[in-house]
Amino acid sequence: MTSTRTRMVTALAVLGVSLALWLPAAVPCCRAAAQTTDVELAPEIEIHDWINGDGRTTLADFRGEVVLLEFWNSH
Amino acid sequence: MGHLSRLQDKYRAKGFVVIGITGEDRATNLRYMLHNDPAFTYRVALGSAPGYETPEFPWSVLIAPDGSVAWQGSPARMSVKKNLKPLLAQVRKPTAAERDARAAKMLAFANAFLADHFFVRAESAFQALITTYPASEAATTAKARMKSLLVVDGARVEYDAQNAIVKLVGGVEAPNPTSKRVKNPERDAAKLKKLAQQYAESAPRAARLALEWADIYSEVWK
Repeated sequence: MTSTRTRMVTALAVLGVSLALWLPAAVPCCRAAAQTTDVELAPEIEIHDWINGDGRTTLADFRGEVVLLEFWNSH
Repeated sequence: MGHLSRLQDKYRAKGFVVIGITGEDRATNLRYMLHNDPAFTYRVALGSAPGYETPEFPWSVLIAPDGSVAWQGSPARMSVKKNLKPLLAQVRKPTAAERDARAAKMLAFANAFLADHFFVRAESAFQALITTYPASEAATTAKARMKSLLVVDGARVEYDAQNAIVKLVGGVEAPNPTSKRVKNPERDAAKLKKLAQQYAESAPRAARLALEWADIYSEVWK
């Protein structure tokens, strides 16, 4: 009986240590994985008129393409 | 600024879009463009973008296909090889739903010009839709609209008058890529004012267009 209990305690302890070793590694892994799907989007632009426009009015309308925003001020 | 047109033209087919953005109004910006980059082919957005910090002008921000900011800085520091090309490698084909949504937006955009009797601009917007998304339902509607573009009373007169102004200016909305730098804006402004008077009764939308361009040409950019 005693030896069975000892074996069980040992098995639980091994399991506990394994979990303790696994968890810290597991948490950053999953957080990092979540970050890749949860992209921080570029701030939207607030536009009232377009020159050479085609009906796409927000950055979301251009998702999937590469956009170069060039800010200028003529003065 | 001519480099922006060249850059977009070179990589457009790979999924590259240039958007100039300025807080100035349309006439001021077109005056500026006529002086600095009369053959520009990229989009200019008139409005604001308060979410961005712009320590200096001009200021470039590259946005990746996933919608995140990938790089920003002075345009002179942007490297096509290091900053742009890796992003172009991430460009993906739009889904069927995205294509349909874009085509629908282009159709609504063209319809708005039609409702405003700006027939030449409507025609070019319908044509852009048909060229970009030929297989879409919106393109079928656009083709039908093109056929019946001038069925409204007086539409033919408007259309011809608008085309006369477009010919003088060099482009439907902005001077086209082949137009030359404006040499004598005062003379063009006078011509446009005369056209506005001529069209005031018969083609009021064309008259408005002529006055808008007369206003742009009446002040020379310094």
